[in-house]
Amino acid sequence: MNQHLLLGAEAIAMAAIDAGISGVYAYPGTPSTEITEFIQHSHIARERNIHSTWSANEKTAYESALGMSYAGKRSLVCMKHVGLNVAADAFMNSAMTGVNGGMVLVVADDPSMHSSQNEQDSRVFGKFAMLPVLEPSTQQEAYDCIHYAYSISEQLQLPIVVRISTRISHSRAIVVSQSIQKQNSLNPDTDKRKWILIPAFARMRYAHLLSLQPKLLELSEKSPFNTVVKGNSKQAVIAFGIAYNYVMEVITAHNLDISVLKISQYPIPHTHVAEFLYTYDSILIAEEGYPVYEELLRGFSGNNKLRGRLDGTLPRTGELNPDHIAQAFGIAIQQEYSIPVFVVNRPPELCKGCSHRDLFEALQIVMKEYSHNHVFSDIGCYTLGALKPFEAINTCVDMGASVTMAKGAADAGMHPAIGLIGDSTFTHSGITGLLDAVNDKSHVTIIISDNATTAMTGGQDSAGTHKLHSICEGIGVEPSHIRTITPISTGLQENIQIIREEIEYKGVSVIIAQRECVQVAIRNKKKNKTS
Amino acid sequence: MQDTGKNIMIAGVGGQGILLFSNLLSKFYTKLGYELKISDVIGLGQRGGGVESHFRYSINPVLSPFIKAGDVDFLISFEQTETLRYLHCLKDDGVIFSSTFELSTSSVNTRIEQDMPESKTELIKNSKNKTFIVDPEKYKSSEFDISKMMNIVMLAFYAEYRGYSHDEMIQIVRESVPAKFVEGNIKAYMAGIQIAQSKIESKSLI
Repeated sequence: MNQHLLLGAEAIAMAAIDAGISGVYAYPGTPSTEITEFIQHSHIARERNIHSTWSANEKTAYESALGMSYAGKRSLVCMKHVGLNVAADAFMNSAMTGVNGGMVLVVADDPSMHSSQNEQDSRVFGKFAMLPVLEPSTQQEAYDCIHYAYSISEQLQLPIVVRISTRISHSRAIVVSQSIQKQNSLNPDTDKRKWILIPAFARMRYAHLLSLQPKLLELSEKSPFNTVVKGNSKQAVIAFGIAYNYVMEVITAHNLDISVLKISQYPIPHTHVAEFLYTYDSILIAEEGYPVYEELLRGFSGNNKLRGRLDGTLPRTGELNPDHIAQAFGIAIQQEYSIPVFVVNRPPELCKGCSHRDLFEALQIVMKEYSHNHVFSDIGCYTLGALKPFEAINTCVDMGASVTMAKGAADAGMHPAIGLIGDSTFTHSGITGLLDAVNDKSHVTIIISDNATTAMTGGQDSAGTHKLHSICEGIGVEPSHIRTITPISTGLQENIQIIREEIEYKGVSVIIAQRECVQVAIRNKKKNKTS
Repeated sequence: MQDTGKNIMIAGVGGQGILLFSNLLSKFYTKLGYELKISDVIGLGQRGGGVESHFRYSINPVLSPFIKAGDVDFLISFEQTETLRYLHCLKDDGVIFSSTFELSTSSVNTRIEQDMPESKTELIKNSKNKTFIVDPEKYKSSEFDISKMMNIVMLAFYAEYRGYSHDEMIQIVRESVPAKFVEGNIKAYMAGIQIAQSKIESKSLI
């Protein structure tokens, strides 16, 4: 038994190593990135030859993890909530095939949208796929539930979803670890009827998945992660995942006599829930994320015992905190605490010396020459180009949408139709869209701002480094219209000229604006100095 | 009386070693046998945003990773605007440790907002809380620039104020930073003790 001070993300990573995984597959995304990084930096993982390099996107990551499971070994796949949208096809169908070696999906939600475009709740996905979902409330539980997840994954032959959120992932606590398990040996699954989802087999697999549901419920009913704290009043709380901490914080601080049902394993345990609904007069439903189970428990006809996000007792959106819970219990917050108005904000900005700055400067000069001056952009540091002083982009929707939205706009007759995308986002989800544009001979200009890293999440390797030109050429962009520029102030005039030319070219052109991320450059310099 | 636990808010901007500060402090409290929860809200700190760390230690399990507004015992801040941002989170008897360092925000630089005309240092001093202000420029010498190591200086300052063992703290620094930086860090720590001793009239021993 060893004690470690770990982030929730790191507790998950350590648990997965200890549970004998043979590989982790992931694409970086806040707040999930630290899981894979911990495994990449772990000496034990290296000694044990655990795969940990980044995948091109969440779908390739998910499928690789599934392949490792097929081969009989334990695998981990990690992503942020919106990443699961990208991996959704693989995810949903892996519930149909099931797994061989234990497989765990860790999905990190970002309620309050600290660094995401929405706050979708991955528990809905878990329900959609009819898979067990675990939602740890502490770092220790995060560690423990990974061991448990691998064991039930192999028992049920199903992938298991572990849902965490920003606060669990990004806070540290002391975690007690268990001894490390051996990795599974190679043992490929030979049951073709399980893995070939042609309709005849798929129908059998679906029947099988449905037949497992009572077993999943039974596991939840006796789960060590679903517990009851008994009180003597007629008031109760059903608290899910991390919300349990906020509830207990308030109950302890104010010495309240309130019963609490903590749920950290889904499907929700019917017996406990039914008992609570029957016993108590007023029940607060505290969920971090969407009011998924509040809605379910209220039902169509409503249940006036229940309070939560849907009736305004708790805020409808955003992360919960102890103050919200206290107010829900009718405890007046003594003082309205707020930041004095005279304190200026500190919004993020592009780093000094960042290549995106020089690119935006050149692009804006050219765009001023046109009446339609829209730039379809994407997800990465360059999204900060939305803010002052640049205000240089018009869209940011999902990974890769810059390319395809520019194409659609060009099809509608917009000119210029500029797609501005980062190198890592391009290889994540931009290539197929560019192929569409090439096949359609769309009149678009795609600018790949290539800083040779996945900068926004902290500078992870980028799948397309040194390959972008040949990728574009390979899918059919005219070689003479794949232009490489260096976004730097001394090259401003030349870069303006090239952007102008390519906007005017009637076909697909790609401008690769290539200069290393300044943060990565500083880090590499430091690394060279210390070694 | 035994210290049953405190809430510490650590604030600043990216690149000030706040994560190292909270890591060192966490090792110290772990050695004393406390339970901890530390929530680092780094956000987009690397891109000029603020950094805040909610640091809670207790003899009982720490539940929420947040410190509730109004529940901060110690505010340790490495940047003045950030000190002002968290003043309202302090308890009435909360204590402030603040560097006079200032980094203008991008919203001021791009003229979205105007910075306050008043002196931030004065505003901080005039708050109703007990306040210690450290001006790194004042203690800078040609051979040693403490402004780059304010995290270690403040660690020493805080340890002095709390009456903690400097030997233990220095041992933790020694074990935690890369070998080639140990000497510089210990020098900064010693400077921190000196500055603290010149400013602290009475220590808080719990």
